[in-house]
Amino acid sequence: MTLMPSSQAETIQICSYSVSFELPTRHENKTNSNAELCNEETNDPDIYWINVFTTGSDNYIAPFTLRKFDDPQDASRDAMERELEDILIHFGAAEHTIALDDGAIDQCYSIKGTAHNNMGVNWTGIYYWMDRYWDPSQHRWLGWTSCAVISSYPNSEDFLDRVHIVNLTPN
Amino acid sequence: MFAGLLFLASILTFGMDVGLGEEAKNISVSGTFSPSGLMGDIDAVKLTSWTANPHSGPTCIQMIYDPRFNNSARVRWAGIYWQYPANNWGNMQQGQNLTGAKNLTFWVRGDKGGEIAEFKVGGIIGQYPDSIEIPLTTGVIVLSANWTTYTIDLTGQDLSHVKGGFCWVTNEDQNPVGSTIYLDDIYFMW
Repeated sequence: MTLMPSSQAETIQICSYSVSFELPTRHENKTNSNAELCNEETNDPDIYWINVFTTGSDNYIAPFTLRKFDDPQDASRDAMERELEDILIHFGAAEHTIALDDGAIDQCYSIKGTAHNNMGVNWTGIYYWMDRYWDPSQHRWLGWTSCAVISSYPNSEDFLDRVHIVNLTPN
Repeated sequence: MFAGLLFLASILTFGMDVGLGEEAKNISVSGTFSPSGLMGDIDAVKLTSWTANPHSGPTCIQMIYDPRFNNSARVRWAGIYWQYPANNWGNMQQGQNLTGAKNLTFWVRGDKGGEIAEFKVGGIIGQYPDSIEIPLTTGVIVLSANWTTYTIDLTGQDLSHVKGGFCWVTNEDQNPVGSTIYLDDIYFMW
């Protein structure tokens, strides 16, 4: 959908979501970003996906994945940790290297994780719910819209600390 | 799907090219191994022969991964092993003797660029496992929209009976809205 050169700061809008980030370093190879929406009526959740990537001698990836569900989902800390662990493993991280910690993104509670694969590639990820809330009737945390961002770029922790995702038309 | 795989296997060049002694011997994965080993969400994968913009020759391989299909039992990942013989999940003794090969090289591009994938060789387990017991991998890579070559070093590996000559694998976290990629010229190089 969009193709843009690397710069210090980027803001990409996909449907009603505005995603801002700042790559930690400039790269000699061109950095691209794709933004795609998948919201076929028969599928749940809607998926909003932005992939920032650098190809060539440097090969880095930073995909942003927003999932908006039709029904509230388990947004407990344990569930968030499992989700982030699964994502890191799906990107090749060795399970025993995964370290998780609490954090906050845009004043939302988040889980931050670091890991590496057997080839020395470091991964850093964050996972949070944009609309997490406590349901007193069920005594548990629920959420409608999850955000996952992982990165293999150098200095990813700084990069992820500067990520902002805003719903421009909240209900 | 199975008929399509047979069609693909039949039209791809055998590719064993013995030239000036061992130095010039290359073995084509597409001509030697069969893309019979579908894994994971097999309904999410479509593999066809593709004529538009191959890296060389008249065709390349198009592989489509679409995780957005209705199946409550989906496992959120998929892949294909190129096997020898076809459908050998370590239940057949046969394997290709590729002793002396220095590396595996292949060309790949994404339809738009940014597709994420991992490629491997070896690692089929079972009663008669692959001689490359632990699969060798490119790691997770992000693809360019332009043809790009990748190499997997085979130095020091036991290549006496290779059953999984090549493997592509991806998953829903890597490509949540799917991916279309193209492969060509997959060779064991001496």
